[in-house]
Amino acid sequence: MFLKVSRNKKKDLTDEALLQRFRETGDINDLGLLYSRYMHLVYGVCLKYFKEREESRDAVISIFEKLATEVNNHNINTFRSWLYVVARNYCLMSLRSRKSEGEKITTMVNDPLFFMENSEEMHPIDREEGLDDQRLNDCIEKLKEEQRECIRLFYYKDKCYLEISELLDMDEKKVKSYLQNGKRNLKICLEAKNVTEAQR
Amino acid sequence: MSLRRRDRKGLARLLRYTSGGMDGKERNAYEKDLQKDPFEADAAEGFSMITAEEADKDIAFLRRRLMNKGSDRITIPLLRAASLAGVVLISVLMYETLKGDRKEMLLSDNNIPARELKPLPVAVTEGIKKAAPVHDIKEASEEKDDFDSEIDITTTVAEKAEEKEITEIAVAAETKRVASSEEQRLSNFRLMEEMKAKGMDKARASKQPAILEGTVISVDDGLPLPGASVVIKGTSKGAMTDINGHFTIDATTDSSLMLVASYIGMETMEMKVTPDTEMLIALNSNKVALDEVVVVGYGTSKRSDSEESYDYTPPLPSTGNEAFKDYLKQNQRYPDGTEATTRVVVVIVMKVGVDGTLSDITAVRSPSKPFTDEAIRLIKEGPGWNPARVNGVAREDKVRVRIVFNP
Repeated sequence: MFLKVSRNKKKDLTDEALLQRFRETGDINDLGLLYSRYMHLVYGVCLKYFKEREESRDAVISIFEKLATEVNNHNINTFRSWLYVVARNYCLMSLRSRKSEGEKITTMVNDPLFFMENSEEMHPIDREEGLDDQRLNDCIEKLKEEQRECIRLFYYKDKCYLEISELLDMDEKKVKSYLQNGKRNLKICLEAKNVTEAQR
Repeated sequence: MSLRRRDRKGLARLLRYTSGGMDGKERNAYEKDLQKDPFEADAAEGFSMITAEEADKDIAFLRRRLMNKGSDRITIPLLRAASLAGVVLISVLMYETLKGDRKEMLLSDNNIPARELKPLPVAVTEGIKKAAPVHDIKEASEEKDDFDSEIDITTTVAEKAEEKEITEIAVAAETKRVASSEEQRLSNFRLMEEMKAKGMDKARASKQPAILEGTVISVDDGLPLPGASVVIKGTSKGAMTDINGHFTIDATTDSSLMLVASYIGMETMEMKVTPDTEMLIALNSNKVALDEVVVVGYGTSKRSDSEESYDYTPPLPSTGNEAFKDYLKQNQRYPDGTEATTRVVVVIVMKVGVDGTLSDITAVRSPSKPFTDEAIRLIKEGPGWNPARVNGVAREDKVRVRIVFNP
């Protein structure tokens, strides 16, 4: 009974509290519990890069083993985003080492999303209340046609990638890439506006 | 290992999305969340390649694996430390044996010459960086009441190494040989304790020893590496390891010196000189480097000698040319104050380093400064570059990039 209570408590600890616990006790179960919260995401990331189930499964286990040592070497603010970086780096490193063994990486290299920026702070357009902002609208006007259309359909007409790709008759990947590039240009445009306003 | 409700829900939502169980509105709402969360976005992309059943199966499998790991009595760092202890133990034994000392010496408690009583500082690359030096391992094992006696540790090392196939350091083979008799094992540990205690005193007392010595081994199999080079950093002073992986360098040392150990096919390793101690340097294998060794024959090959074997690829954007052009097209902006009416061409010349870093980015053709700046911005913010390659070996090289602005 007591055991059950304490286990439930542990289950509800925040990521950072669990991490702290692992650092103090070295109990691999704590780290395991923490990892299990995001293991499916790690597996998904591995699938994205390896495009193969078995290899991805092995990678998920290897990444966990890596965590056990790496956790103590780093100052981790948010475990979740740190884990993402670790997982992605792991995949990229192992793809890179394979490349020099003769296999060419074509998959990620031709993927325009590969270079999407993953800035921590949220893009203004992703904040719901930000959508009506006049400056944002001005900037959207200035975008190239495809980017503008994708942004409008996605954020203002609430269409999903698939619907947009049908409406605009283009590949779903292209839709994502236009959105990504459009957002990047919007950010640059908004920052430029902020600078000129500040100067005034 | 049960999940919090919100984690379970998150997974369910993800799989419903990738298996096509959502309508347009719901998809859009989820995709908006994905825009804010690259981790989940990547995962969604990955899961869209497999069916929901496969995903469920794999996740259940992984969860089981994870739970098995969790219930291991020894935590992973400790396991590593334990296997490292094994290697250290072996190298002590090898060293002693190689020195030609008689076996009895190992078993005696007191009559050990002071020179032999040194702690073994251990430097290892990447994979096992965290592993602690000998005395720390001892302390760690004392803290864990799982270990009742010293013997336990040795057996654990042998068993675990076999079962789990810990590849960083394969100690199994040597351990078997060494661990044949239990008394011997016991005395080895006693010896290590002795060495620890006396060695530390000695290290503190000594000021300027004249000889650096140690052994270079391979992390992969724990075997010594003959013919590895060990050099004092920044000097030409150094030595090759002998057939037993052992080296000695005559030098007046102080602890600020660095040793650089290298061996073909292994990652080069630097470690701080620990005065008056036997150093154990473990090198990781470097598969990449080995692949890049191209044998052309004797002598250096000139281009004219073997035209066919001279294989040159220029520096290229890592995304490939098409995607790069696409990137340029998508992200270019006519600079403020210029009219987006005419086609403008800017030609950039830049240097691409061996590691793909860009330098000396200059415009050799451009109508005006704003266009030059915009072109340089595009290059700098764009995808990474792969270096030029000559017969597969990365070289620094210059490259011209034409950037066309289209209204």
